[in-house]
Order: sequence, then structure tokens, then C-alpha cells
Amino acid sequence: MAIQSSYQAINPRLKTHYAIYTSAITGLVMLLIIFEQLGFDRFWLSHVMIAVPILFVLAIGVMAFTREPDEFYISGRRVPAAFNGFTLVTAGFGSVGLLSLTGTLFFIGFDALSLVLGWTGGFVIMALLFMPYLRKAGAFTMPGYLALRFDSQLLRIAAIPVLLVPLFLILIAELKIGAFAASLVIELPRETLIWSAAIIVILTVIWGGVRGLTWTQCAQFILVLLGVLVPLAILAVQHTNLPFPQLTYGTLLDDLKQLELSSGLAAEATTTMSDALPLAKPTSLHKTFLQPFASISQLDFLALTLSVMFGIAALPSLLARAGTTTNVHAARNAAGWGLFLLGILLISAPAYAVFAKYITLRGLIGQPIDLAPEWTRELINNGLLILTDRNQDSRLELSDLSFARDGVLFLLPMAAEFPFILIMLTISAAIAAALAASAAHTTAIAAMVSDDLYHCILFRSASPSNRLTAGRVALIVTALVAAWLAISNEFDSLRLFAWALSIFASALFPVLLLSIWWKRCNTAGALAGLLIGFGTAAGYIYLTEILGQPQWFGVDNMVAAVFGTPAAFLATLIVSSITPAAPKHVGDLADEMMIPGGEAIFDRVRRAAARRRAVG
Amino acid sequence: MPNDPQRLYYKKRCRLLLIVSLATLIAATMVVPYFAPLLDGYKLFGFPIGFYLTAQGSIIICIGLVFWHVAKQNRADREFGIMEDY
Repeated sequence: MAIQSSYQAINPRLKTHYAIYTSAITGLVMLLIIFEQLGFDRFWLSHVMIAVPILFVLAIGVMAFTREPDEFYISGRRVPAAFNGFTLVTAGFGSVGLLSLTGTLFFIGFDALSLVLGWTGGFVIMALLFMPYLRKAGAFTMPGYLALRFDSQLLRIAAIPVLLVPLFLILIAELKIGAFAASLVIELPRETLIWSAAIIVILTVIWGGVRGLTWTQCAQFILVLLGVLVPLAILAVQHTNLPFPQLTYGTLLDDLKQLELSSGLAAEATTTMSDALPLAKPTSLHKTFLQPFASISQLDFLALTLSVMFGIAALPSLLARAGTTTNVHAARNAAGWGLFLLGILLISAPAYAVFAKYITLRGLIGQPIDLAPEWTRELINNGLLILTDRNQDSRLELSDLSFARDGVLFLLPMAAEFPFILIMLTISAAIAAALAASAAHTTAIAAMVSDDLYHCILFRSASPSNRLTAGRVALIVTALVAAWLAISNEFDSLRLFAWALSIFASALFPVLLLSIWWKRCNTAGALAGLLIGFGTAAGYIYLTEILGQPQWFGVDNMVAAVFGTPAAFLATLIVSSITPAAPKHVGDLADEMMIPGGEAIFDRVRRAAARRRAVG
Repeated sequence: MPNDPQRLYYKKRCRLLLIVSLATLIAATMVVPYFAPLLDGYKLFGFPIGFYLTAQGSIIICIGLVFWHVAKQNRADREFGIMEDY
């Protein structure tokens, strides 16, 4: 059954536009490298390299201006699959993935692969179990989906606060890392940088909402890819004569092992997870790269993988993208593209960590501390590296080196003594990743507040222009509140991210899974799952982190989903079974969601409601 | 017509596809890392095999899995005529 789409056609010149953008960025880098050779002031060069991509993004944001609620909330359902893949990666990987994951791999090597596997599996689950069915449902937001699937405003009201908490946690983490990356170039206080990041986010998405978000994220993803892959490829050519570091860093692993052994890095006994995962502040190395399960036990490894996996699979900022695809087929492909592009980054991250570890250890170990290489000065000034002479023999040993986790991404181009502009390109990429992910989470929160709370609960008869105004006000308020929260707490960004994923994995994942795949699931069950999952995970984090209570069974609160997810599954299953089945029209909705063809259920329901209003 | 035989066959086929895909996912992300210590003695392009399978193999398997799953699912949808034109 061919359905005539009521939406505009896809812009046929999208690829051309992004090809021009990519050439412009490449050209900018080349030009600045020439200026650097000519001896221009580094202050201006670095600021131009940071500012121009941001100006590009702001310009794209303004060009995406819209007066249509459908454009503002679902980008007019006409984003092609590959471009949706771009946006999925920027929102799901973000700067936490780019900076903290690379840093964690640098510190604990193999054990950090639990995060990598979690990310991969999360995208697979999203592609297989969620995306096509959420596209068929077609709601703007996750509370909107639950309200549609169960025909219940109560669930909408309950889901808003439950999802707001973890979304804010993850948004704060991204803002913090963005401010950290920017602080390496722009010498302003951290508070100012966080406020400016929030303002840039507002100015990016306020014009076009999700539409602006889509096209700016695509541009930012291209910059991220350039900023990570270019330095890595150049270094790989220097060391292995091939520009594919992902394939060739195996030969480096032996050298790294020798280097680690000769510098006295010994095999280490298993520690607790919170000791094993490095914090943002500089710490020394404790673990050899290749040794499996040395800092995290096998069970903790699995818990971390599953917690990240379910959390990413149920991340509302990603799931909201389902509504923007052209049809169910495109929704499936979008998730596939997302995983493919994510895979490029995830396969590069360990290579990046290995190269960074190899060249820094080779350059530093055994050197006299007074004659430390020139490139260390910049790192030390920025607080990314600390050299201390612990045993006063004025030679650098392993225990004398402390690295900042989030700075490892910049360690590689600095230690390899690349042109200054390439270092700035990497920093620019990190800032782009942080801004893009922040914009995605801000938009997801604002959509929940302005569409679900304002339009669907408080003012059902709001006009389109009022809805857009509400959406824009919500964006401003969200970004500013997040900036204020980011300034006023000292939590580590990787931890904030892990907590957020744990809460998504507990509160949303079981309910989402059962609501799609189990027809018997009813309003009461979903409500119970949502609240009990959230209560268990968030409560455990609150008890152990804020109130300092002892851990249950030695489970770290970063994997609070260990308790939350099973509790929510049980609650949903039991409560759904003992309460009466949902009325027939709700069961029909569940059946209809499984049929890939036809228009989105949301559009049909909305049209029917409009017709009823017109008749009545 | 939720109960006509063709529809039931379609449902069964989709469910089988999903089970195979999820089993692959579990194998790639939750089983492979635990065999890494056993396989690390052997080398592939200079990588210890156990590390290689965890750091790259499982990701490549997952990417292949999603595209394979999508192609299979799309073909099933087309055959049963419940996929809109694209």
C-alpha cells in the first residue's frame, strides 16, 4: 500500500552541500597551516580554527529556521538514512565517548573495551528492537510514545520527570567536557566557558529545533571525524607506512608491551570498579594495555557492558530520531548507518590510545626531568600532564608521570609534535562533539517540556505559533539550567554519563522493550516498570553517592542498572499480568506498530483528533 | 486479518530472524571477551587474536549483523507486500 506523504521531498543537493562544507573545513586547515609556517601569531590562528567551525554551525542553525511544529519537532520526517546516522552518532557518542573513552582506554586498555562493546551493542539493540517500531508509532518524544501506545496521559505525566533527571545528567557531562576542551585554547574561567557553550547551543537549535539540530549535527560529525582520523592517520604513516592505523597498530602492541615491562608496569590484581576507571584529574598509569580483566573483574566487565548497552539503546535523544526518518525502511537503515559510523570511531579509539601511550612513554621514560622534551611544556601548562620526581633521581619513571583522562585525545598530536593547527583541529573536533551532543540532549528535554507538558497536558488547544514559542523558551531554559547545574557540581563527567545510562537502562529500557514486544503490557505495568526502575537505579546512586551508604554486594553505583533493570522488568511483567488487559483499541495499536508499511500511527491519530474537533 | 496463514508465516519468519540476530549480538558482545585470555597467545596481523576479536572483530560482526538483518527484514516485508514503496 503506497501512501502519499504529506511532507516535502528530500533536498536533492544535501550531499553537495556537505561536500562543500567538508572542503571548506579542509581548506581552512590547509590555509592556517600555511599561515603558521609564515609565522603568524598562534593566538589568532588557534582562535580562528576554533571559531570558524562554530560560526558555520550557527549559520546552518539560522538557515534551518522554521515556523512549522512538524519541522521543529521531527524535522519534517524527511532526513535520509545516512544523515540520520550522522546525527545518531553525534548524540550517542558525544564528547564523553570521544574524550573520556579514549582516555579510559589509555589507562586500563582491554578492560575499557566493556564500554566499547556496550556502545556497539546498544546501537544494535536500538536498530533491531526499537527504531523501526518507534518510527511506525511516530511520536515526537518518548513520553509521547508511551502516551500513544497505552492511550494514557498518566504515563506521559509520569515519564516526563523520570526521563528529565538522566537527560540532565548526561547534558551536564557533555557541557563539562566541552568547557574542558575549550579551556585548552580560550583562556577564560570555566564558568564563562560553560555559559558560552550553553548560549551557543541555544543559538544553534532555537531557530529550527530538531531541523536545525539535524543539519548542524551532520556538519559537526564531519569535523569530529576529520579531527580524530587525520592526526591518527598521519601518525600511522610515520610509524607503519600505512594510513590505516586501525589495521596496523597490532605491530605496535608488542613494542608497547616491551616498553611497559621495561618501565616497570606490572600485572595488577583486580580492584573495584570505581578505583579502576580513571577520574578526570591527572593520575599515574597502573595497568598494562593488553592484560584482560586486570583492573575490572569479569562480572564487573559484563555489568558495565550491559548497563551501557541498555542505556544507549534507550537513550531518548537517539530514539527521538526515529520520527525524523522518511519511513520504516529508512529508520532501519539509519540505525545501521549510525552503527557503521560509530564503529569507525570505536575501532579507532583503541588505536588512538595505543599510539598515544606508545609515543608518550617512549618519549618520556628514562629522560632526565630537566631535559623533558619541548612538547611536554604545553601539556604541563594545560594541566594534561604532571611530571614529579618522586625518588629524586632526576630521571623520569612511570610513577613520575600523571595524565589527565580527558586530555589523552590531545596527547597524541602534541606528543607527536604535529603542526600547531592539527592540534587545534582535534580540540575543535572535541568542542564540536560536545556542542552537538549537548544540543541533542537539550532538544530532547525541550521537546518533552514543550510538546508533552505544555501542548499535550496543559494547553491542548495551543496554536502552532504558541507551541513553537513554548519550544523555543524551553530550549533557552533547559540550556541555562544545565549550564548552572554543570557549574554548581563537581561530579566526574564519565560518572555522570554512566549514572544517566544506568537510569535509562532501568527506567526506560524494560518498559520500551515490553511495550513493543509484549502485547499484554498495559498502562499499570508500564507505570510500575517506569517508577520502580527509576526509583531503584536513581535511589541506589543517591544512597551510595550522596548519602555515603555502603554498596550492596559490592556493586558500583555506575552500574546501578544491575538492580534497576531486573526490578523494572519484574515490575512490568507482574503488574501487567495481575491487572486487567488493556482495551481492544490499545491492543490493536500494539499490533499495528508491528506492520512496517503505512503512515505513522501518530499522524493518523492526530488527524482523527483534528477531524473530531472540526466536526464537534 | 491478523490470523490469516500468510500473516502468521510472516510473523514466524521475523521472529526467527530476530532470534538469530540477538544470539549473534550476545555472542559478539558478551561471550567473545571472555575467550580473549585463551586466544591471546596467537597472532593475527600482529594483534593477539583475543584482543583483536574484542576490540574490532565484535564491532565488525555487529555492523555486518545490522545490515544483514535490515536486508533480510526488508526482503520479507516486500515479499508479503506490507512495505511501502521506497
